[in-house]
Amino acid sequence: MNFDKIKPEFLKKLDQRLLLHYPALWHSKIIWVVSYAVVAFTGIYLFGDFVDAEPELHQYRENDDFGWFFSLGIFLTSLMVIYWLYLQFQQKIDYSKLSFGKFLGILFLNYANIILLFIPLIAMIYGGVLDMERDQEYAWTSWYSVLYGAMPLSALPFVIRQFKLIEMVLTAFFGFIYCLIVALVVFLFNDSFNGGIMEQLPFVYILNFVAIGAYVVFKFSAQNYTQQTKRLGFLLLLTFPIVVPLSFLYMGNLTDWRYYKYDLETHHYLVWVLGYGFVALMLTGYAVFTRFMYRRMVFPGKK
Amino acid sequence: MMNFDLIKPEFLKRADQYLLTHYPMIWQTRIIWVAFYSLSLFTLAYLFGDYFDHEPGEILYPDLDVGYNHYLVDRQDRLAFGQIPLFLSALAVFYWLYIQYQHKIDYSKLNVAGFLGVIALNFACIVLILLPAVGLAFSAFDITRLLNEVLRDVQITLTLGLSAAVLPFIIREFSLIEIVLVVFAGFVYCFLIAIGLRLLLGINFNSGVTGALFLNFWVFVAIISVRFYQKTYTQQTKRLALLCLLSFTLAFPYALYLLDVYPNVNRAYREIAHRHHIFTLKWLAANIFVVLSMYGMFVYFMYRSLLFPIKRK
Repeated sequence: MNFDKIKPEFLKKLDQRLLLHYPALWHSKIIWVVSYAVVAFTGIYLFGDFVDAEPELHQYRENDDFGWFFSLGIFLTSLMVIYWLYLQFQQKIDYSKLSFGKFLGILFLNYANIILLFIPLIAMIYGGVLDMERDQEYAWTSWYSVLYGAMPLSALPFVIRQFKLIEMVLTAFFGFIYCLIVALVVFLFNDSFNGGIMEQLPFVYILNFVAIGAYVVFKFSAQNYTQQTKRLGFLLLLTFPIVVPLSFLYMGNLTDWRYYKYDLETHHYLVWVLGYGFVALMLTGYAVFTRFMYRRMVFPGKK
Repeated sequence: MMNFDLIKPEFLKRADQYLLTHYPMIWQTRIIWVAFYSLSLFTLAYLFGDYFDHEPGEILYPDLDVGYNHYLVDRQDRLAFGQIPLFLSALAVFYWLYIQYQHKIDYSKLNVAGFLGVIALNFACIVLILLPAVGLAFSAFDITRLLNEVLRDVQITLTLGLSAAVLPFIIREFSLIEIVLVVFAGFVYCFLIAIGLRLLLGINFNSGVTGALFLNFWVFVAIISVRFYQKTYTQQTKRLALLCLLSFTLAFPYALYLLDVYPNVNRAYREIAHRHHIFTLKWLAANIFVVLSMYGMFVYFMYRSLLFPIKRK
């Protein structure tokens, strides 16, 4: 589809400049993503309140606003993320000569792009679409979940050309099915574990993740990987944000420690620092693994 | 591509071969494999699902009513036993569409009845794919309200995603990213109409926007029909047709209101799926059979028009 007609001239010139001087920024399409975010945010902020229900006029319909606007907004933004990934897929970018710092930088840039695509949803909270405090709180929780889910997506542009779309769909599908089978096996041998299934299952998942991770790293290091190894690597990328919080269960009383040392109620900035520090740490982990995988895949795979 | 041959039973392979040689249209829908996988998963989910979920015996909040405590415990299963299985079913529907896409099926020799028959088979495939999620819900949820909420979500998915049953006829006309952008632009367009009506005419969402969008929908259908009939369509016309196909399930409840099937617009939309009466005969007749029949007729017309070469700009 041709979007050229709706692009302002000054942005086209800026885009040209980025292409010539900062190709990595140009590849990420960040100026177009920023433009989209600004236009959509302003539009929703200024006009969103005209189409929603008002609690004082339609009490019952106000309850539906979250579903009609915020949930639908998440769905539509997900479509935009797919489009952005498609643009990254089309560009056939060569990341093989990048140093670790630059690789990490691009990963952060990708993350910023995905977050920017979701920024307009916040306008629903401040612009009056979501009038009830309960809905606003739920919207913030959903938004932070999106920030979390954006981490694996920001690593996808590095590996997306290695897979067909349907391969990714099937890998995600069988990843879930595999987890259910693991749960079934743990259940069947439940008596062998101490503490019952719900206490031991997260540990089994972590162990399983580490075992698959070691296998994939070994295969890539020995350069005898196949397409199946790549799929396993892809599954690791997708499931990393699920496994990491599970590991917190085995790190002692981390939450208690935090509460004793600092009163989080009066130190809101600490929540931010901890949260965003965690995201930065996770993204660094992604950069290490994705760069390793990417550099190994430059060599031809074993058939 | 992934190889599923090892887990396929021999008798089904023979049945598949028989369908291929005698009933190729049924074979192309892959219904026996869909039925095999779905019914197997349904059985597993129904028999074993209850072993993994939270059982509503625990009292989390002693101050609160026992029944409410049971509800809160059982509610913890919504993500793992309600939403994730539905998401996986959606992925499976996506895979089924991909298989249909790969087949490059020639439907040009089918008459309207043939089209309707294939659509009915496609619909059966989609229902079968959603079945394991239903089985798991019946097995895992002990509180009726929570079970009904999951069933309601399944019904919403089935009703609003009914266009998946006709997509195999036209899916090869579009790239995936075209479909993604058409859906996005369609929703944005609807919001712009709603804002425009409010600002220019003072019409609020409750009183008139749905009606205006319904009218707009039929104007689009008229434009597309004329373009296809005169064989002067372009790729943009096809995209508009795709938008109409995808959004028909959203526009149709308004028609039910106009036809006095439901007393008001809100009721017509709420009856797409209601927690208190799920999978009713009225819903099946109105929101499924009538919609599928109309889909059949329109797609037949569109498919035959698309057989002629496109007009280039």
